[in-house]
Amino acid sequence: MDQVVRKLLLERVRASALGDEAVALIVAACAEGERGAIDAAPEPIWLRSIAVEGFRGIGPSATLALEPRPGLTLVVGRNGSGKSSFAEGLELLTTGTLKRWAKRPKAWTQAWQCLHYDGPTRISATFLRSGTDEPLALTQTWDRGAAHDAPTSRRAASAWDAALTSFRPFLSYAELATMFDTLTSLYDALSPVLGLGDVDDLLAALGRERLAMAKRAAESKDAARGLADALDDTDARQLALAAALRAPKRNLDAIAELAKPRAGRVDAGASATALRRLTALAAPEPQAVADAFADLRAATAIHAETAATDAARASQLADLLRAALRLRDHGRPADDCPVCGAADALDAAWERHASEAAEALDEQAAALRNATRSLAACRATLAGLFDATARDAGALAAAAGLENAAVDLDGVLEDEAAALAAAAALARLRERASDELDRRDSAWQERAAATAVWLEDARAVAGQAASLRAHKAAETWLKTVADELRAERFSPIADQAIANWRQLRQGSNVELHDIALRRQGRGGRADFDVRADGEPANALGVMSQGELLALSVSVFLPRAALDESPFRFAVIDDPVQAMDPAKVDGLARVLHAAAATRQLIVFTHDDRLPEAVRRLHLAASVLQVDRRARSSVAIRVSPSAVRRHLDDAKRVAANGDMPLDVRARIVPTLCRTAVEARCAELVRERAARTGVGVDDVERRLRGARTLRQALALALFDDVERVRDLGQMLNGAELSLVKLLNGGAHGGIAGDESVRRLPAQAIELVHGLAA
Amino acid sequence: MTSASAAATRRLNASQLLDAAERLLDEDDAASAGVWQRTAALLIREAIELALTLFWRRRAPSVLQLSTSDRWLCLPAYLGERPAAHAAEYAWTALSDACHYRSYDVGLTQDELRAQLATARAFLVAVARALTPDAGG
Repeated sequence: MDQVVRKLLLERVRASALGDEAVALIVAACAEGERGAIDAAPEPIWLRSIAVEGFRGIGPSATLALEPRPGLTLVVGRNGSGKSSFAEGLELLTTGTLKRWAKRPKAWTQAWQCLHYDGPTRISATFLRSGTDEPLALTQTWDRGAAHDAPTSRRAASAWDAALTSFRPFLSYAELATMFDTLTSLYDALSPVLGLGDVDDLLAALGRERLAMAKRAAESKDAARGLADALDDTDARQLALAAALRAPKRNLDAIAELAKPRAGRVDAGASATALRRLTALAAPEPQAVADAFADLRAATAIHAETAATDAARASQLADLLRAALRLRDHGRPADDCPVCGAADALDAAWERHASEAAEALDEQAAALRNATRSLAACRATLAGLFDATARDAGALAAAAGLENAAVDLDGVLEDEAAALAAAAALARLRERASDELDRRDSAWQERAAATAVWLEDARAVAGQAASLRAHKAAETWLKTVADELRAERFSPIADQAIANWRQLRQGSNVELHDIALRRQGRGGRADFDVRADGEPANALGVMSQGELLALSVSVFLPRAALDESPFRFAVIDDPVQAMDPAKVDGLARVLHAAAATRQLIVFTHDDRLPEAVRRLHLAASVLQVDRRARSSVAIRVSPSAVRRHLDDAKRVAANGDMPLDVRARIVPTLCRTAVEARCAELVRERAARTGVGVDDVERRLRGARTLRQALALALFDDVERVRDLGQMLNGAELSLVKLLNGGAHGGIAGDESVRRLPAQAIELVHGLAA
Repeated sequence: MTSASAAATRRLNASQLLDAAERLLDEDDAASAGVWQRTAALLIREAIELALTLFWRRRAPSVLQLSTSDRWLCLPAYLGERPAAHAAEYAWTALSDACHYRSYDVGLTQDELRAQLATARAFLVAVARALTPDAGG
């Protein structure tokens, strides 16, 4: 995480009104970010050379040598001269691809090698690591015909690779033109360099955690519903638990109580009660049934036998005989029959006979009575085998919800087979009821156990409710702060971009008031507050292509100048292409200002920019690129400002047509300008090499008001040490300095001394470099 | 520039030339349609050149025998390193380009010409200030 952003975040979170837990979340996330940042931030690098062979417009190896120090370098070449191949070669070497190829058909990436060259492609670049003398060299080669992403030898990974995405030091023409195609691309380009990508990541991480927690809570809720749905509503225990689980505000303690696996805890529901009664069912044993029927059959047989005689008639007949016996007069030997009147029918023999007959008849009647009683007893026994519960069995089974459990008790008192079947059915029913009770109990145990598991998670979910609230609070806070930080961190870039735009726009009627980065959903966009002729307008609508290009450059330069970027160089490819000619001087000024602290390499296809730089007397190196047959590319170094001033001095000094007094004034001025320019070069070179004071080189150079101060700054890095110049300069050089200093004020006399001046100045300039 | 236009403008001083150029830029005059750009460019360049000539005539007339490029080259030695002078030099170059007729050239826009006009006025002020102390002596 960006250290500056981290510090700002921590300061603000401590001063915030956030709860402790939310604060802790952000502090922890910042600490996490700190660990990740240890090997970040490699030392700054300057670009020393780009060598390209067999790539695009360049055939045999060509090397672009650059001064690794702050300053503007213009690489000038007509379209097709191969100049862009240097820029693109460097981009390909460092980033592995070209922005120009992005979102393009495959045909763009084919034929990326030089058509006029049979050898392999080879791109290398050397960099100067600020503060060390160690150069950094990167080289990559490709076989002829290889894809651009399949090199033969891949360059070594470098510590700067990670920074390439955030601080891309390249701005190609394609990017210049497409930077504003979408407002999000500018946001994407700027967000990482402000270190706000980390804040966005932090926000995303908090969001993910919050979502995970919310998801867990939702899952717990779903699980409760699932549990409730799986519960058997015929079980009163489960029914009660289900109701508790479905309650909108679940009371976890109540649920725990309901689901407690306690012994002897029974289901008090009607169905369970019926089941329990069924388990107590007295199903007759088959043997008992068989015995009862055997007894019944025996009793029936005896009864049937005895019932053959009419018991009632026998009793009545016995009664009649006894009545006749009582009636007979024992005093007489024989009596007449009282019934039929037959004379002397009732004699001793009859008496004997009648007594026996009456006894026999009584016996018969008693036997019948016994048989009847016995039969009734057998029937009662049989009926007793199927008690009331048995008779209720069907209804109970229905109440218990057992299916196909009807027991047919019809004929069980008559038919042994039916009785046996019924007894077996009852026994089965009892067993089923018992099984069902067991099943319900174990199902209950299982559900209770499942509920216990769920409860554990539900308690954890309930426990993170506070954490979830803290996450939400932290997220909301961070969103606001991220917006503030974004605005604050971006405002210097925006201000610089707006200042650049004012330089570049010249007479354009489009005024740029503000640029703001706004977060939008997962991404963000850049908003431009633009007025056209004083009226608020849509930035992209009112700007011409050239103006958009100028705006791209305006924004890119302050980004490249950020201290956080390890790249002290920036490469811009053809910013003048679509620019109005009169704006070129503005561009030259903007580029020159940006080059005060950065090594700016600008590729351009015509002479307008170098011309503006020369005419405006802006320090810049100019390299000319031209391509001959077979893509043989040559680079010529245009005379430097130092060289040009000295050449001009020589020409004017030798111009005998010009009066001596004028020459005596102009020549020293030109020579002095040359020496001062050389001093500035040396100061910038040293700053780049040591990494010290790069950002205020320009301020210090401005502080050197006299030639002696410029020399002191160049030689001792101290503008005050003008008195020590003698330590480094010989007598002739010191008197030259004196001449040059006073020259403009008329200190030189004599044609000869004026003519000699440029050569002396050249010597001094060379001496300074050594 | 042609001798005819030189004769026509010689009677005006540099500031008046710029005023004329500004009128061309401000007015939507049918008479100057199609030629106002080049005319304004010419007037502004003429004004800058006039100021430069005036400066040398007063300060070192011998410089006037040099080419215009060299007159610019010598300027810092007499005027000092002034951004207004550099800007004027650049404007003079750009306007000189614009005054040459090229079939492919679409010419300068009104906005660009206004920017050059402002540069020219700033240069006139710089020259006038540089010459003021000497005016009396």
